[in-house]
Amino acid sequence: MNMAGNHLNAQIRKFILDKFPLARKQQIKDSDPLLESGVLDSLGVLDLVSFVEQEFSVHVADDELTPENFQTIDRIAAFIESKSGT
Amino acid sequence: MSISVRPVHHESENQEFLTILQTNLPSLPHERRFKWLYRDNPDGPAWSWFAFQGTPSQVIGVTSVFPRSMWVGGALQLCGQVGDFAVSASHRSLGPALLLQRATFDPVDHGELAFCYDCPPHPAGMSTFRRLGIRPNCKVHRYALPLRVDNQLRKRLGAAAVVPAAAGNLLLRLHRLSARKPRGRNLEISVHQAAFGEEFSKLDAAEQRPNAIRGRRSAAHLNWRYKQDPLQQYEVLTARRKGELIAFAVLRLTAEVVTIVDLFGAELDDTAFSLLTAIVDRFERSHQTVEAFLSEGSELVAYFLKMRFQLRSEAAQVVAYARPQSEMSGFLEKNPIWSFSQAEIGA
Repeated sequence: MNMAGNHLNAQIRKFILDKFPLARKQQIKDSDPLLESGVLDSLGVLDLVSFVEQEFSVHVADDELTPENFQTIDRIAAFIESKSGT
Repeated sequence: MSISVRPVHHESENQEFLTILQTNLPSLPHERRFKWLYRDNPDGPAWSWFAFQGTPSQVIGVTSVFPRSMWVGGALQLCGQVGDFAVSASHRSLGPALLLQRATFDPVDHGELAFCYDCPPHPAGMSTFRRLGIRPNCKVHRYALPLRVDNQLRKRLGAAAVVPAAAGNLLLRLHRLSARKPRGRNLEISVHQAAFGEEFSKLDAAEQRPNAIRGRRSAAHLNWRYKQDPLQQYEVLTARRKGELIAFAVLRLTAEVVTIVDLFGAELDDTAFSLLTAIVDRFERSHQTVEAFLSEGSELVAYFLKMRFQLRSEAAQVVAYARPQSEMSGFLEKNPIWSFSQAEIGA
């Protein structure tokens, strides 16, 4: 992972830890599943998408709201990188 | 791998359908209620959709729309209630839920339903609507009237609860008595054990409001909903004058709580108070609480508050979808009165 990737992961992790108490309780890692573990539900994903769109200036289409893109912090970071071309 | 949605063929895919429901909504006995809920509804069979990933047999989500005849601004319309919405835990990334939610609009967009409505009980259920830019049409609140405090105090104080419980029950009774009104003129309140007859259909058709939306209460619907339900039993009280049906209430009982599922009829100034008083009298020795779920704007709210019911919590939001730019969409935008109770939001 490059420096930009590390920075992305840190920003996403901070948002998730600040916003979702279960993430703090479970001390999630970047590769931990966020959906199956119950850290994120659909409303949580909605909050996360709003954060991603505002913070990284990318547009997330409905058909991109898939587990492939939002399952883990690593995948969210990879998705943002692919959208922003960094 | 991409996620898509397709209709469910209930005859050939019943097992897959029940499996995904049972896995993701485990508190309900889906097999026992399937035929009644999905096939025997007098308003018609339900529409259902699977969300799947990759091949059509890899099902990751499901939802349904249950047809419901409604009185909308004084006219009878076939509408639909969204229900049994479930997505596998590994796919709760909003995308599959959005696809399923959009699928529930299909019968509306194809003109088979005037509108469909969903009643999410908690904020997470609003996430798809927020993403779609659809705002809730009204809120439904839970109202409760405490009848007794025995059980609550016994849990906290044990054997020492006897005297405080007696005092508490007396205070609650005095509080309720202060709200009492004399029973309505010549009204007879009685338990109705027979099937719902055509007199209920007539009462339903006679009680119209030009700016309101409520479920139809035909005899066929009431018999299906309350007499044929394989999971619940209900008690029905009627208010009659010289034998003529004026109003009725439908109750669901658990060990401690009486839920007023429905209270409907004419002359509510008399009948609502008389039915509520009869319910309290009937259950104040055996049950702890009477509760009801009423939408904002329901004319029943005033009667419940006068009877000392208290607003306790938000129970659901009602979100309706009508075809954009349709006459129905225009009607819904004029903020009609949603006269909803458990009769409209429960299934």
